[in-house]
Amino acid sequence: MPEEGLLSGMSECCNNRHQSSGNTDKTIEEEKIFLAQKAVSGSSHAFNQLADMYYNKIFKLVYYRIKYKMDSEDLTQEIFTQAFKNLKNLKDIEKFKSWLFSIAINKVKDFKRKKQFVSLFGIFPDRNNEDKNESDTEPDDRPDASPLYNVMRQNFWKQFEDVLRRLSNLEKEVFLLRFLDHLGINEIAVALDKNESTVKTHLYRALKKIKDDDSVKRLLKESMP
Amino acid sequence: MNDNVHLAEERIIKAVADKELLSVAEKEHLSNCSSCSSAIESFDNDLKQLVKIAELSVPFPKRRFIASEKRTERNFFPVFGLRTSLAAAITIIFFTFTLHSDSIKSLFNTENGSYINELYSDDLFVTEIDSPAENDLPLEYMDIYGEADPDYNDNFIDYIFPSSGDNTISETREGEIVS
Repeated sequence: MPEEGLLSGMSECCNNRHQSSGNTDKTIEEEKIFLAQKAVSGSSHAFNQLADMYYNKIFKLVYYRIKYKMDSEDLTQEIFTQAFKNLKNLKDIEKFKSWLFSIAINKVKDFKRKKQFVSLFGIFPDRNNEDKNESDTEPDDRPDASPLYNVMRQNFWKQFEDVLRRLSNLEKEVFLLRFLDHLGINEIAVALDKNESTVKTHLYRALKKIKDDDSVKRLLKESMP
Repeated sequence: MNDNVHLAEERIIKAVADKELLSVAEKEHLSNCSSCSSAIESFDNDLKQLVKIAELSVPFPKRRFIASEKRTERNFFPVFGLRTSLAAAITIIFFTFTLHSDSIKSLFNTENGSYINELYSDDLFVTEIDSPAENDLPLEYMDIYGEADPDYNDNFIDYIFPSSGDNTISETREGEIVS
C-alpha cells in the first residue's frame, strides 16, 4: 500500500465535494415534500429540482451495487425516468424518498438479472466472471484524480466486495441502505417492502458478521493514514 | 440495570444498528458507563470510516436528469407500445376491407384461373351426357332384356338350342354354294 492512506489522499482531491446547504434538515425535508407534491400534480420543474437533490444519492446507490460508472449513469437516468412516469402512483408523498429508493433497488435487481441472463448464453462476456474482483476499471475523470487514487479506489472496492460477500443478499441490502445510503429503519422497510423487525434482524446479523470479520479492520488499516 | 454489569456484545451491535433498540435501563447504563459507550463508539467509528472511504471512492456522475414538460400518459397497449399497436391495427383493418372488395378479388381471378374453371364445367357437362349413353335403358328394362342377369350365357343357350341352318349352307371362298 502507498505511504499515504486512501482516506487522506481522497480527502485532498474531494475537498469541495460535499457542500453544506446551510438549511436545517427539517426545512430541507419540508421543501422536498413540497416539491414532491408539486411534481405529483404535474410540475416537471419541481421534479427536476427533486432529481437534482437525489441524483447523487441514487447514483451512489447504484454504483455501490454495480461498481461500473457507465452502467450506473444509465441506470440512474432510467430510475428517474421511471419515477417521473409513475409519479401518479405515489400515494403517500411523505414517502417519496423511500419510493424512489425502492424503484432504484428494483432497477438494480433487474439489471443484474438481465446481465446474468445475457452472460448465461455467452452473448456478451460477463465482466464479473472475467475478473471477479475487478471493479470499475474506468479511471475517475476528475481533474484532480491521480492514477494512484484510481488504483487505491479499485483496490478498496475489491476488498469491500470481499467483505460484503460474507453477507446474505438481504443482509447486504439492509446494511448498504442503512450505512451507505443513510436510510432509517422505517425507510428501509418501505423501500424493501419488509416489516421493520425483519430489517432490524438482518441489520443486526450483518453488523455481527462485519464486527467478527478481520478483513474490515485490515481494510480500514490499509486505507487510513 | 447494574452499573457493574456491562452490555453484552449483542446489545452493543444493536446499539450501533439503532440506539432505539436499547431499553431505557440500557440507555441509562450507557450514559454512565464509559467502557460500554467506548465499545459502541469504536465499532461505530469503524463503520463511519468505512462509509466515508466508500463515499469518496464513488466517481462523479457526468449527466443530469431533465424531465420533459409533457408527461407521457400510461400506455393502453403496454406490450408493443402505442405506435406499433396503432400501425398493426391500421394494417389489419386495411387488409380486411380491401381483400373483400371486388377489385382485389379480380386481381386474384386471372386468365389462367378462368380457363381452369371452364375446363372443369365442361368435364361436368360431359359426365352428364355420358351417363345416359352408357346406360340407355332404365334398370327395370335390363331385366326384361336379360342384360341384368350376370349368369346368362349366350354360348350355353346356343349349345342347348343350336340355331338351324348354320351347318347346311355355307359359302366357299369362291362364292359357290356347297350343300
